[in-house]
Amino acid sequence: MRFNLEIRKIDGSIRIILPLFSRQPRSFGRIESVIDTGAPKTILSAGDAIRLNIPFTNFESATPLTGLGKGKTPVLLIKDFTFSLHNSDEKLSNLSMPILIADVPRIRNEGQEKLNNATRIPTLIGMDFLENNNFDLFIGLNKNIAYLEKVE
Amino acid sequence: MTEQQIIIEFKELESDSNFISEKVEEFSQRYAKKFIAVKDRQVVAVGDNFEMLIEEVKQKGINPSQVLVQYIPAKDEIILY
Repeated sequence: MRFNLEIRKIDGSIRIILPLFSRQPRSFGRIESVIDTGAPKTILSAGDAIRLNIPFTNFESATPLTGLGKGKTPVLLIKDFTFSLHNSDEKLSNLSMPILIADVPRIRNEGQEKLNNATRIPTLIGMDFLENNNFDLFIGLNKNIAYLEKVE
Repeated sequence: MTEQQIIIEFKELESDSNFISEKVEEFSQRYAKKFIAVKDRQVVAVGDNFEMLIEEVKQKGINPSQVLVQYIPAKDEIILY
């Protein structure tokens, strides 16, 4: 089963985009995520968490993330995040897996600039997404084609 | 929400995502260092920060869960993640 990905070029930077639909209770909505093979974990961005009205108090804290620059980003763990993908046969695949989510209230407490920076980062699809859901990832930049293939 | 409704949502989402990819160079010229919200292949709001953008989306009577938000970097800005 194949799931087409979009290749987007922004000022010379190439991003591989995966559209998702959150089916998390009371947080239904559209998500445009970015495949990030450098990320071990999938993380729902601060912006998407705000947009989807995620109830932050319902989830437990996880180990803060360290990236480039100073400081760490506080995150929460959603143990069973439910979402759908749309495959190339026009059917839905419903999946569920643990994901991290930017802890927006704590980020906000660290200052508006930190929140502004956090909201520039999209939802990132990490290697755990591929591993947990048995996806193979294919990217052919020369042919302008990218997709996920589910190994049954 | 039924499966059919979600498939319709997906088609709109994919269409809006394609729209951003098609127009990204134009957006880069026009909206550098701003956030844009896209719905139905239109830019429905522009903001200097994410929260201002979402307020504008709500004021227009649009559910924020139905828009795609894209930060448009400046020409000399590369965001690593």
